[in-house]
Amino acid sequence: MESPGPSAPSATGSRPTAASDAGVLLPEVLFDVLLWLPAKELCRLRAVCRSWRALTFDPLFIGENTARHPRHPLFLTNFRDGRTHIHVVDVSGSVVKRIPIPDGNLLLPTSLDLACVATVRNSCRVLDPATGGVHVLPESPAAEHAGREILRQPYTCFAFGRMAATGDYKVLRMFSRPDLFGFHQHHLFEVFTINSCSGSGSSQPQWRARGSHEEFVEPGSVIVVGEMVYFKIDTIYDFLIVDYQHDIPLDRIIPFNLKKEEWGAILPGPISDIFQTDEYDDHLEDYRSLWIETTLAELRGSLALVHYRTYRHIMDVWLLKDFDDVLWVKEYTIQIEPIVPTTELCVKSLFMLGDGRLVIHFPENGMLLIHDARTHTSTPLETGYLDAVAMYIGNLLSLQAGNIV
Amino acid sequence: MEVDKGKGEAEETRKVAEADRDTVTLKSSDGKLFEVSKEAAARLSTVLAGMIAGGSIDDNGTDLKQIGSEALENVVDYCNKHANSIPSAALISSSISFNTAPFKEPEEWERKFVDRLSHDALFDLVEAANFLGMERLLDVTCHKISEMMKGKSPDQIREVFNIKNDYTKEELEEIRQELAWAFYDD
Repeated sequence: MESPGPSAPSATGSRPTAASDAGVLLPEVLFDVLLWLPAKELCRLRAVCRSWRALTFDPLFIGENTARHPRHPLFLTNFRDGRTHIHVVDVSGSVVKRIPIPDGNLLLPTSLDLACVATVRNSCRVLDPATGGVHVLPESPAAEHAGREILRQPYTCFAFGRMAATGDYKVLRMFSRPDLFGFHQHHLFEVFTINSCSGSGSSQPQWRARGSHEEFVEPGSVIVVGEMVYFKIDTIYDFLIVDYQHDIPLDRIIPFNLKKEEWGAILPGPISDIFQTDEYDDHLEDYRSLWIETTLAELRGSLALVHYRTYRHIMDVWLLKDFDDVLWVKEYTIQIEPIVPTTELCVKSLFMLGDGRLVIHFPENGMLLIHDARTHTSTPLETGYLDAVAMYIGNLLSLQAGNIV
Repeated sequence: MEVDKGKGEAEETRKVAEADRDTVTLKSSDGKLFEVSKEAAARLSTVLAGMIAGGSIDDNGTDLKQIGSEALENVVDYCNKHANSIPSAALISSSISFNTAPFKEPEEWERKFVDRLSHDALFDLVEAANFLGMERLLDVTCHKISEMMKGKSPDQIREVFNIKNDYTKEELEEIRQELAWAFYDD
């Protein structure tokens, strides 16, 4: 702890008065100067001195600075070779922050100011990337589900969303059936609420049991759009299909209202109805591959159905423009060849940046592609192999509080 | 009483005379006098606008004890140049709160105006602009200073802005690790 040089003030010693430290600029002028700088530049300036650091963490300053500059998009990532941390990464691929997590936890594909990581073995926690705060969700099931056979070796999926009206967050937990053809058993569904002002509640929050849908859903396909949760139908239908005209359409979607905590009516997908008509521009592909080739995503607050036509490297992005009338519009058709290897069978997750660029995560090669639909160009993000990706909508300036005051 | 009354009348007369002129005379801390268009001064400086409206402008040179002659010359120069440039809508409501305020990059002539200044002259000018409540000149000078900060190391910044490093060695090491990413080029 001893400071070696005479110029370095010791940790406990008295520092010269603020006036002589502050430099040539008046504090109010410095405020105006720093407002002109983007967040990344400001982070670097935090190494100059304490008063500059304090100013760039001031909420008033951050608010004004954010209003002036375009948002700095940040990804949350699970690197395959860094399993014990979430990495916060910017669009240039630089790691901005590392957040410790238990080994094996993977990010859910959210675009929120919090992150949720979980395992298939019933571990789930909600993280605040800015403060490092962690909320570990209880593993014990809802009282109504206690003692069920399905819980002996739990195989879980989670979904995480924010309730706009209250600012609360909710987690949906799904216990899958123990075997694929276990038609005698339904999944178990439970909901957990994390209050926006947590800690003040008097009672310990618990998981609440919720009924399952009459159709089987595929928990692993889950995506949250606002307060709605959407599922593909269970992969079991994909195995059972004989011909597309007589079986359940493979692009059906089943909604769950996370706010009301109840199931909604089945949504027909955009593809099945037009599959063998002139409207569909491609007759070559096997209807059976439709299930595996589709991914649900959230784009600009709408549900998106991504159809990655593997062998042609074409990605169709359908947007649900009107929920009530079930109006699907094919918003993008993206030719991704030849960057993505043919081993990719599907898209794992899809996001949109503030400037309209699409972020596409391919699971097989762990690749993240940033696609600009205006210029029809795709750029891979130069990072390591990615197992999971989420977007972080919080502010870069708020991210690095550290221990220094 | 009569003396007082007489004085009051003299004051009135002087004010009228002042109101008739279309320039104001400003006096720097080192006693130099500068003339500037009253219209431009009132439009660009909230402080001068207040003084003109309140009649506290001195015909023989209004004392601005906080501002040296070089900075005041630049202030006056800026006012004159500004009067000749096309006024843009963004400048008119510049003192509104941050969320609604138009956020406007310096124009070409404004860049040139500050680019020719030495560091010291720039720092004096930004202080003068701040003192006189000259929102636009403050924006232009602050923008220039922010440009000077871009891409510089903390050491270089401390030198240019005469700042003492008040971190401990351990803290600096921690910050360096925390911010390692920010030191790579985009």
